[in-house]
Amino acid sequence: MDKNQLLESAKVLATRATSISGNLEGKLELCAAELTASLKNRPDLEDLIGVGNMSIMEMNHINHFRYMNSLAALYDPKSFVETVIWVFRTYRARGFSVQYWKVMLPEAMTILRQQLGDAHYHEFGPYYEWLHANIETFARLSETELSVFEELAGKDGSHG
Amino acid sequence: MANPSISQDFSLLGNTYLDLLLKGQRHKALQAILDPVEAGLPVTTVYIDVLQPVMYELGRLWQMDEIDVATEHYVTAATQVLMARLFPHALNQRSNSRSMIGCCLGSELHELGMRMVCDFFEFEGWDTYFLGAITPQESLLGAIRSRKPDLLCLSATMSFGVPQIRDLIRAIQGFSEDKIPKIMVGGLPFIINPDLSTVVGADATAPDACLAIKVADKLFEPEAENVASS
Repeated sequence: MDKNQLLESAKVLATRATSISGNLEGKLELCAAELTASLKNRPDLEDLIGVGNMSIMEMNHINHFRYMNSLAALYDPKSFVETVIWVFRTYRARGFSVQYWKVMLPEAMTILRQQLGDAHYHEFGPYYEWLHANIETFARLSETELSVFEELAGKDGSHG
Repeated sequence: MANPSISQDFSLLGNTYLDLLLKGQRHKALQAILDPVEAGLPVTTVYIDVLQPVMYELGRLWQMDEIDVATEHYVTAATQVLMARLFPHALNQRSNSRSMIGCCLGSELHELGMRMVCDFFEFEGWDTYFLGAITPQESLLGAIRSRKPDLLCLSATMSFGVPQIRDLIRAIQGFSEDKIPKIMVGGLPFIINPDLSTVVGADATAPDACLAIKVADKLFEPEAENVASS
């Protein structure tokens, strides 16, 4: 799947109702803490996130739920695609493996279902399913596409 | 079309500045920019053709984990010091009798871009009121009510700041006051997708400070104002 196809598939998600903005607002830190605790229990954690990256992972979990909450408030497919590519590029550069998202996303879905209840969760579910289904595409695009900083600088990203 | 050799000169100047800062040599880095400005290089050129590319490169270096957060903050802080020293070089006495407020909402920490925008408006004769980072919505609404600016410029770097901008614009559009400012938005999410500016209810967006001036001028052309008020 190329980037345009990814964007087209993301546009389908825009038709879904997003009435839960605000419901997650007061639970962001709790959800992030539960997700972190769940991953800390895994014996393969260092394989997933690299060595010495615990605090970066914790920050990512807070930012993840903040972002998903903002997604419920305002969904824009292009921004969604670009933001996820940005996230993959940023965290993979720090040693996170692609497998991390294959583990993290289902865990985050489970936590949200517990925190929000089934009715609200069903509005978030499609976004997670779409993210999970496209992990490999995001990983590839994060390696092959120019980053936004490179595009803005109008160059291939080499310094000096 | 830009002269390639001049562009290369600016790129070289930017690389020199950034390299010195990455080595922790702030004084030399600032002097590397201040010397050509003293010799006549326009400050607006330094902002757009030297500092803006440097900040993009700084973002790239951080994203690729080639520098840490402390280094990113050091370079950003040094660039703010440099901008403060450059500012008087570009000020003039003329005024266009228009006013603007510029700020970064909520939890937004990245203020350098908006500061650059506000400086540019000031250079062009606007009366600017820069509120910096992490401005609470209620405080900003109070400033808008009391100062009644012609233009409000809002910036977001992180995606989760965009709904806050939309909510603020809705609040402003609900003002009972006669004068509601025109609103421009900018920052990374709006550069990635300029159509977002319409989604949040802004009047316009621009990818950098130089273009922001041109877009703002168009917003205040008599024809545009008539259309807006009809």
